[in-house]
Amino acid sequence: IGFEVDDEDPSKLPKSLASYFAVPGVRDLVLKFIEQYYQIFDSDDRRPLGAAYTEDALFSLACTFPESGPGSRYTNIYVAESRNLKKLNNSDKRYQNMIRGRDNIIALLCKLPITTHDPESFTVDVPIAEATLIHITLTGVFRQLSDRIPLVRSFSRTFVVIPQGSGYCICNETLFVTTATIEQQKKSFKNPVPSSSDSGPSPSVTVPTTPASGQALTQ
Amino acid sequence: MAALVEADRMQVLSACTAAENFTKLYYQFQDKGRHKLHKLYLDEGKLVWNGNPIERKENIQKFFEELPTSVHTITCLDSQPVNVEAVGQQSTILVTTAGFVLFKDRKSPFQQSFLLTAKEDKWKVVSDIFRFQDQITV
Repeated sequence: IGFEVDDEDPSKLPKSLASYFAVPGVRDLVLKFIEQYYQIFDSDDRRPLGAAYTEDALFSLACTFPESGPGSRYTNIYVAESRNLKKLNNSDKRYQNMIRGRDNIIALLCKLPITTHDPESFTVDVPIAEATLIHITLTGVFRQLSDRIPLVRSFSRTFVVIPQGSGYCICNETLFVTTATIEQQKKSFKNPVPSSSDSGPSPSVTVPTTPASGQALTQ
Repeated sequence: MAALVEADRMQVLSACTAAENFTKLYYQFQDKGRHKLHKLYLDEGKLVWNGNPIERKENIQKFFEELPTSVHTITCLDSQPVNVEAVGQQSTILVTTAGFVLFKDRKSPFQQSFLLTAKEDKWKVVSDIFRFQDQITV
């Protein structure tokens, strides 16, 4: 006679689903924003991204990288700016490493290595899309031009977006950067990504696009 | 001016402390007391777990109770006060984490993002987004 023990099987984990949008109507707005954002982010001039942030937006970056090996190369800037509270106990550092204001955010974004993101790796989750606030998380992979071997890196980015003027702007953002898993490396960059040089004139960020008037983001 | 900077600093540092206290409880409940998890969510809280949407704290509770037992290790934590322009006087913070979770013998890196709001003197989860770094497709 045996026991009825918990029959635990990791395969019982619910299946992963693709991007989720709490309000279907917000899908196009968010995807358009992300597309435009990364067109600029992956170019050699990130300054036009200023238009995507509120004047007093907050931004912080955190990373975990191996201490040696290829995954540790060209990560100094991330490590220097990292606001991982698990490692940063000093109050002054915790305060300083939070970047305040559009100009300072752009200055930091311009200091980060030049990148190419794989849009096919992007997953977007938007649990809240109200007229007053949108909570967006974006995950995916990228490469850095400075990496001699095209090392794949992984990121997760959270945006808090609010209405501003006639459109929307980012008021809070956290960016997490780490090395890609073997699975991510295998699956990424399957399709050639156009290099930033053939993307034509740099687009203006129109995140600030309003959905048709009267069409509130709420259902 | 100095007073403003000091108030700003206090707000930033208290968001850090709240994030540390919250994540300690949250992952402790995930691993060793799932029945208590609902206490951390707003009644109308929202969870998106690897793309699966779950609304309301009682449904979130039920969802978590059906997952295999877990051991979470948090390697990265960040937090910011959410701009007053977005939330007015309603104190709200953004908390993001990264780490590994072990479900039985499967160890997966994950990232998570929370919005917490103060309700009757307690921080409550408004929205919670969880993603494995690798998608599970089976």
